[in-house]
Amino acid sequence: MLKSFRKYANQVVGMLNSDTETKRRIREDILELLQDRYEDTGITDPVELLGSPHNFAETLGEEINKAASFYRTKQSSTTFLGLPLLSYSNNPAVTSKGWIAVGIKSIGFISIGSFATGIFSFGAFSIGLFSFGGVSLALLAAFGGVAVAYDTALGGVAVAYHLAFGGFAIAKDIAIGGLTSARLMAYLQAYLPQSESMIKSQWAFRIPNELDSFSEIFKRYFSDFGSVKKTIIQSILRIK
Amino acid sequence: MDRLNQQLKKGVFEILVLKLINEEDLYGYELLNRLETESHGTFRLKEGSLYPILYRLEDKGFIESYRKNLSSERKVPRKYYRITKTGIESLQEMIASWNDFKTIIDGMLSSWREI
Repeated sequence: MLKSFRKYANQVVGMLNSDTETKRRIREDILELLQDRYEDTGITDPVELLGSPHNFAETLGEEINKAASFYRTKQSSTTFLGLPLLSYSNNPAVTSKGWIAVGIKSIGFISIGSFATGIFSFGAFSIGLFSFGGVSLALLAAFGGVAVAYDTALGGVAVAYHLAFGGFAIAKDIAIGGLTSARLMAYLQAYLPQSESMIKSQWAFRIPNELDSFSEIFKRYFSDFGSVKKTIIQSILRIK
Repeated sequence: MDRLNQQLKKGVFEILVLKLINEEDLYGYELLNRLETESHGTFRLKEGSLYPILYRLEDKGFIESYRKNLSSERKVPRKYYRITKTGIESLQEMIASWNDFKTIIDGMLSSWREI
């Protein structure tokens, strides 16, 4: 049995909304059909033999359960300010909108999806006031592999106007991390000096050895930095 | 017109599949080919459409599947379908219903005249 056949069968089954037993049955039959067609034609490409997995799954899905279409879109009947409380869709062509929205593309107060937009957004690509995800963009706080925020960013690569934490942290004000660039920096490995035209003064302290010096500058020049951000810095660096 | 054709075809697939399996035990791919050749290309069923029909017939108890390995080269035994006693009875009923239906439609259409 060719590996590509198994992969094809798994892709088709993965796209179906069926119970486990039906999926097992279908997987078995697709593999057998591919094998038969391969023996008949000599063609090894499953897509050439049966068409795209998506089309195959769609035909199967329609036939197996006509009531349940291949894609599902659901909304709760309860609404608030015209928006459904809960909204869900696994259809990439549909944007799920609700107070809690879940979908490939979603917009909501709490938004969860591959492409999520909301006050609190969670997703592979998320945009919001607070966003969490692979790539996240936020006004207040972004957390993720790549996090970009106006206020605070935390991530592998963190970019923020005020405060950035991460492997590579870049900020205008404070950056804490492995490699940093900001006005005030607490770095583990190295820092990138900024040009004098951009900032008047720059401080870089290697942590944990120069933690006290960092703390002193932080207290002296960033007293109005915002209590939440102060608390975050103090708790992460364990300074008073 | 195409849509009407499709709808008509869809309605008879179950009878045709059951009839073919009644003649001899068949596996999925063989069924697809038999449907196409015996209907001279009219009933060309998509692969994705055949299996749901087979599942329905199997779930209703009209057919049952079993594994058979005819070739030593083929590692995975083929899944064959055979008709059950209930299936034979249902097929007879389906054919009777179809003949009644056909007679009525033929009768109505033969009296059709140009307006």
